[in-house]
Amino acid sequence: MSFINYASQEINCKIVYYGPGLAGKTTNITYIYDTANPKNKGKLISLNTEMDRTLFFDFLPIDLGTIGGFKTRFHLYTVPGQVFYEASRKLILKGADGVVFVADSHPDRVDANHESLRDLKENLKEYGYEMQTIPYVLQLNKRDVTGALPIEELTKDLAVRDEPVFEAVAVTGRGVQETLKSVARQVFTILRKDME
Amino acid sequence: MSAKRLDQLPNFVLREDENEKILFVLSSIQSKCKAETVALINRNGQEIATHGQVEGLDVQSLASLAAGTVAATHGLARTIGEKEFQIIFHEGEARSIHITAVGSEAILVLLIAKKDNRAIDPTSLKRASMILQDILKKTVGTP
Repeated sequence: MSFINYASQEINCKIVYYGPGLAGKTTNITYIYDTANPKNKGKLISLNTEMDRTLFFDFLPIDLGTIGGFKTRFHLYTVPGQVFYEASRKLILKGADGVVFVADSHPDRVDANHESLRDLKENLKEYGYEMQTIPYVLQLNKRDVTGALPIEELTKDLAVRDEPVFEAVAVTGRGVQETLKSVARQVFTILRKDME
Repeated sequence: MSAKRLDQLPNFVLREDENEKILFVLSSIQSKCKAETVALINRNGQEIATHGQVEGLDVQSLASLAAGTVAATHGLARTIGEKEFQIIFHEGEARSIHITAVGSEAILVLLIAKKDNRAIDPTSLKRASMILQDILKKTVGTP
């Protein structure tokens, strides 16, 4: 549900990076922040614990072009991945226009990926979203770890429909921009249809 | 709740006449409560309208964090049997933040210099909250 403001000629959209703890959600947002044109980005806010784990959310506003003369501002959020922050994840997901699921390619994180994906599906459903139609991207992160599970296996395991799937190594930036562009493109498609 | 396609969920559309009405209310509140800045924010953390001093103020961060504060204290309120706190007040050394719920979809944020903390007028804020709810009801979609 985007916010279309005729007075300021702006459209605000919300993208949420979801996934298990330590999968690289914050690393995605940090890379986007570090590489974005300063004119197009706001401040990066990170609400972390002392151990640098996301406590509540990371937030980054970023401008991604115009539609019909309206400046489009994407608000990128991450959720805390650790299991016990379920309530926070649900709150942050409210009003999302698109979701990126950041999966961990490490073989030890298979169960964590499943649990987080199940949690995402349940929370989306509670907010009235349908997983089959929401702008959605699957990012397979940490492709550089030793013993990373094969792409085909992870995709078969975690894909929920025919969503775009990207390999990523977020710490080096590999796959990060492609992921954002892909989910933004899907949101733009819906917005254009709404504004016709 | 039954699941809907995302493109069937209405966007929130704010038109210029509604924006002007909102700014009028914010201006009135700013004056009555001697606030430096007054901002109307949706519960998703997006700024709807702001009135007052904005120079040097990161309104987007303010909006996101104020909405986050309200969301986070929601659970706290429920532990004492409250649905939510209608007012949240953060007192700083020089400036304070006063947050008022505006229905279930928005919040009103006042930035106040410490010397003016006592100028906050709960009756005016309550009335403003009701007027803003009415205006938002007439907008397209949900904020």
